[in-house]
Amino acid sequence: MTSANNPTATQPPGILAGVRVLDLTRHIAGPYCTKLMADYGADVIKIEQPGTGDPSRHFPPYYHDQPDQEGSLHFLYLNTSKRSVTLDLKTERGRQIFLDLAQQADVVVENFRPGVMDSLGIGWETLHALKPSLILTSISNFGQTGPYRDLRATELIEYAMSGVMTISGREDRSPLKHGLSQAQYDTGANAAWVTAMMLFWQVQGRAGQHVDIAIRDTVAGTLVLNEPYYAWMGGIQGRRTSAGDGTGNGLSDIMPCADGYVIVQHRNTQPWQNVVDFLRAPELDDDRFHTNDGRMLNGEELYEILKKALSTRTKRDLLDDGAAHRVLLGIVQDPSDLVSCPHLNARGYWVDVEHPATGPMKYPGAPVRLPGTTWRIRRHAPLLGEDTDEVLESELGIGQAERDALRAQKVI
Amino acid sequence: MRPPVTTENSLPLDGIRVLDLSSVWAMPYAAGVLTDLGAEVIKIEALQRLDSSREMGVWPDTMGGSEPWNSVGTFSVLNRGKRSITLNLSDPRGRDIFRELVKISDIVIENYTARVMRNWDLDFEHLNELRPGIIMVSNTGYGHAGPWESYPVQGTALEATVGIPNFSGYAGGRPWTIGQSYPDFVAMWHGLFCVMSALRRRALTGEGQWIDLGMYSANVAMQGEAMLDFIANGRKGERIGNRDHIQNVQGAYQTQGDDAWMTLAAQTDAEWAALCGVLGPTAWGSSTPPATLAEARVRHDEVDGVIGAWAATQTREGAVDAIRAAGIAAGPCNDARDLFLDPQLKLRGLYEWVDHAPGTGVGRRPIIGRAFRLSDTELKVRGGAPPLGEANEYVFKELLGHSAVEFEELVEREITGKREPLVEEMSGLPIDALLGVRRIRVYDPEYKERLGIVLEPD
Repeated sequence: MTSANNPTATQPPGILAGVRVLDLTRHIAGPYCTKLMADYGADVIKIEQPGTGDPSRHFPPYYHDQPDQEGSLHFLYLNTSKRSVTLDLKTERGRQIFLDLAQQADVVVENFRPGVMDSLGIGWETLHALKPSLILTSISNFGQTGPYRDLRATELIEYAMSGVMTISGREDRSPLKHGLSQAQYDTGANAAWVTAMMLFWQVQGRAGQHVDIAIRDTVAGTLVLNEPYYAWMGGIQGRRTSAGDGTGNGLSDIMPCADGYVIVQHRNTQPWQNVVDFLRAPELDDDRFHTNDGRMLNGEELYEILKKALSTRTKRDLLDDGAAHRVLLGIVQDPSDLVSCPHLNARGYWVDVEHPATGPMKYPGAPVRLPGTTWRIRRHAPLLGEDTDEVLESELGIGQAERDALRAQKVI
Repeated sequence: MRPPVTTENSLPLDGIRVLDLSSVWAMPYAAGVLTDLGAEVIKIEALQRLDSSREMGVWPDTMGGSEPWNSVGTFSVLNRGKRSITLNLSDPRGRDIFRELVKISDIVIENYTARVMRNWDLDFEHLNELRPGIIMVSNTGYGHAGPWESYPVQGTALEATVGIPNFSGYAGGRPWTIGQSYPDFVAMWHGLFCVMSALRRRALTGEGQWIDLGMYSANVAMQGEAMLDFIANGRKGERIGNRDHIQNVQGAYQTQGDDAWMTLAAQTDAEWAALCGVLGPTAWGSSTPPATLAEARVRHDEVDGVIGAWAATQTREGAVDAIRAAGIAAGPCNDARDLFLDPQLKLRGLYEWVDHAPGTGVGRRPIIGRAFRLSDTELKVRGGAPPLGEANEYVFKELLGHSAVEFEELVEREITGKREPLVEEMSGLPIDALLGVRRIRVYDPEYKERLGIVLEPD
């Protein structure tokens, strides 16, 4: 395990060192975008509403299940390496302070409802006129334009409207979404790369642009098999049949084993014999199973053979033995498996983060390794307004007396 | 190293050359998007080893034609706008030619098992010597280094290992994977984030970058709160179908129509009351409707029964409209056809019309473009997927300056060439069989008219 909060002098900077982000995002999608940037070295100043802050501060789960605006595990995870400044954007002085900070930023990221930035007087036209090189990344449910722009949505509705649910689950039961908040995380990651692309554009001396990212577009963009089935042959895919408990022939889907669940996937670039040997099931060495089409057409028998072969073996045995036979294997892991995973631990994946409300705690580490640069949680997620004084003083020269007055007026 | 400032209407990656050694979905899709941005992407396959997504079974009207590896729909989405060469890297001469290409390129993308590029002396250190400032993406399941480094895996199987199925599936049932090869897209977004960040850094410092993109670690990072919930509270998570783990009353409900479903989510007490208003006073039979959202969550099974009974009397569009009119978030469960015909996606241009190469039988069809828009640069898919080896002469002769004699010798030695590649299975099941095995649920014989597809003249 590496220690996130004890940097050594020899650590090189992060790959986005030197980038200043002004972060108006809340909830999950926007904060994951700016977390990626912050942990990879960007200086991210998170602007929060005085008093309440990012609504995700009030999402469970909480540390030790104690509701506390500094203890939401959503917030703690998604806001590492950022600074927090409280600012009421609805006041004229608050707006002015925001624009002064924007003068010093390279990019603003926001995920208000479309139109809110304009109504606050900090929309794209205003920002672009203020500082032509500035990038604005806007994240929303359906995008900044179009007839659905103002429709409301949640994670479930994004999944449904993106097309992913009609092909997930069993045909005799309801369509199904991923657990957790994957559409939000997906969109944060999508927004982060497009923003980084615009930073490359900007560093070549070009004018900033307004980047428009929609959650629904992001998820719909993953249907690289489903959409061509329609556009190439008029086929509309559905959910899994009840055959094989929804796995069909048992390949490429989740099957029970002795102590959990696994996925066995066969690729045509490898001989089928590898699967036969791996599963120690000579009955699979049959002409009916040697081709993809054959495996589809004789799915019922294949499923029964697979089920029997897997039932006596543990998932870790199957994972290791699958690798030895060059068969693609997946094992269903829960968080306890992941935290104790020998592979992740050998790579130093989990990092320690010290936070006033939790003490030291392990967090997921670098999503991608970039040798020669540093991914690092430079500090814990900020307490609400933890950096207001420092940022206003050092960035804008706003002294103690004025800050006291702004605080009294609840501008900060 | 700072590139010259070009005109404002240029594309973000104009002048960037990419060597794409990758196969299947994640990295081919990432490299495909780079072509939209203006990069020249040279896809490298071998006659002896094709990208397996050239065999992915989605052929025009199920017929592959005389060159089925050039007409696959999924392959077209992932590889649009690229140039294609064949180059056998298993042959030392092939690797020498690859090195020549590296010297005139900016980005190399590969997804071999970890040992492959190392064994060929084509790892980052070697490439960065050939071309200082090179950016190299190495995409693997588990990342380089670590006990599982060389374990073979692809997105479908990996989805289990990364942990998300632990939280996905019907309540009380087995874990489920959702969508199609989900971890691939997580890898794509994170990989592109690193590529773009590295391009920026190179523009400032001249330095190259190796990107060790293990899909496992990136996907675990997308479940942060669940990981922390275990670490802090010992909770391993559970499967709750389509329900919300925080505050909403929500679900997917079947309406009238062929496998037609709609979703809704009530998020506040006021919205819950409004929803009860839509359902009507008689919907609850002899029981009293829940007074608050919290009570409705406690009685979620009963609530789902009541909403389900109401939805069953509605059309999908009617149900969605009624719930939205009450101020509650709602939406249809769209299928592939719904998405192509969706007015919002049409306006935003998520699907783009692309002319495919003559002779492939594909013609002009829509494919997925990009899930973002820029205010001042109009981006477009720049062409269909390349027929295998279509750029051999361009790359070997024009870019590398090989003579016709040298080129013919390489063809002779099967280091490059255009002859029929080695493929095992290239048969396509007919529509009836696809329906029979449920690869597709419905066949729409009028899809061409509906979408406006134009086939090339015979």
